[in-house]
Amino acid sequence: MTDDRHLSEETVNEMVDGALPAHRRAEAEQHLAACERCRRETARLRALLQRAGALPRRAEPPGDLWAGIAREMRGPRVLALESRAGDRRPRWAAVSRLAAAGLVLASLSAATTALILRRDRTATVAVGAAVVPDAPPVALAEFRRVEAGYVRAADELQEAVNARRSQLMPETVATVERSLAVIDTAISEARDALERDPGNRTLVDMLSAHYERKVDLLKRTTDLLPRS
Amino acid sequence: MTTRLGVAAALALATPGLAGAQQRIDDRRRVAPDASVRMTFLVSAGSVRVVGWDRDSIAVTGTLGAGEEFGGGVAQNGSGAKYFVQEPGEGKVTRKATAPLALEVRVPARARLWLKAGGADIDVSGLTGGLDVNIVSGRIRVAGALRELNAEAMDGDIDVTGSAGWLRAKTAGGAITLRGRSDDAGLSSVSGTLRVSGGPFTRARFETVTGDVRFEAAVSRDGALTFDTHSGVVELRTPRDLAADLDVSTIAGQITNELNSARPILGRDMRSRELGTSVGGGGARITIRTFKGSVALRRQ
Repeated sequence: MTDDRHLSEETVNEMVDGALPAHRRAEAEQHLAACERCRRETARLRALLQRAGALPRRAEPPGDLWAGIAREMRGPRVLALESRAGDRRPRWAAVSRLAAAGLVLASLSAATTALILRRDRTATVAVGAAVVPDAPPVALAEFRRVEAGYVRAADELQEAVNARRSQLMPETVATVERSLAVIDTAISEARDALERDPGNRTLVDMLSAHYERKVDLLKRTTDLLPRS
Repeated sequence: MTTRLGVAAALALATPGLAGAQQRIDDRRRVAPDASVRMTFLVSAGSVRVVGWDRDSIAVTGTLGAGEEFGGGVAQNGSGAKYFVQEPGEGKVTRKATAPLALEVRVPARARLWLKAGGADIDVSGLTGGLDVNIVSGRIRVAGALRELNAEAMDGDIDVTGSAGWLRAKTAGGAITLRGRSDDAGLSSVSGTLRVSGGPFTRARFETVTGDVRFEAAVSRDGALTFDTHSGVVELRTPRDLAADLDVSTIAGQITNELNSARPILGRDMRSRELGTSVGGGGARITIRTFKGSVALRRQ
């Protein structure tokens, strides 16, 4: 999908992911041949994914930290779904969104990247994981690093929206602010709960989902801004 | 998708009418039956009705809002078309038109359609190809059997009736209603309610922050469904022949189970609750997770 002049981020993502249907790919390539900006964006994304792809396949954080998480995840109370149900696109698309938001994946620590990717890829769902007896309290500690990445991405997008909010309809601004407030409240509540129960991985998943939603909403809002 | 237009040969442009006056549009062009069609409506109000038809042409008819500009064209080989309507203000949609846009667009049923609008209400029916529709404040209504559907609205509601092999719908404040079936569905809203009926569903994910989720549909035996909400109510009304393994967990909500005699157990914090149970001998994996929203499992 494009706007009037350029390929959309989604199209670029899908093309780089190899997920673009043949007929759309041909059209996208035709556009690329004539558009330097889109060529640059595509090359940038490919380079980014190449760097990220150099991460270990299972993207395990270093040291004993991951061992603790992995042990917990392999426990009998945990069921790992094959993939996040209801998502057609390769999980890189989510990372690409963050990248496009200004969050440079390469600047994240390997552990942070690992957790983001792992969450997206496996959508590990804990069976009754509201309580994980004897779970080591690693969830909160590790999530703090992941959270920093989400917060940075959200802040950068928020700045971009704030700088040009006058270009949006007042109703749109109100809707976005209302929705962000709802998400921020949810983040705050889930985070408080995680502080009280620092080993609860379900809460980590919930928090991650809230942050992803926030980044996605802000990204969609920036997409509404007229191209400068 | 960008279509390189044979601009000189095919570009149509209706210049803005006089202030306060509406301008009639009647633009008809031949395109391929599976053409890529992109339509952009940079307007703050109005209605656009898109109908798929069994012809190899596009017909745009109706009236523009006061001062609005219409343009469009078809690729020389007919493989794609692009249209736009823009109200005054260089694409910055900031005002309510007094006499809003009202268009009917007929496109080949198999066309792939991308549609972007500011505040217009969008109705689409009769398409069998792919549809990607993105609006800010209007509502989206889609009916038919599509191969692929992606619908996004900021504050407006999304209403889908029919089927889509692959379906995604997303809103911030609007509600999403799905009556039909999909092999791969993803519905997401911040505060809007998700209402799902029909089915069967094979792979599906339903997510909200505060919006309720009302699911009353059939589930494939090999399905995998996930419900995720922070504080919305999740209500599943399942058919009697449901065969599924259900895993429900909530940090601070309540769980009501009327499917069988299984009862939720309290977590070690005496606050969280979880329920794992099978019905109909097991089968589909249904996972429900809330922070403080209550969950109700009921028979239809």
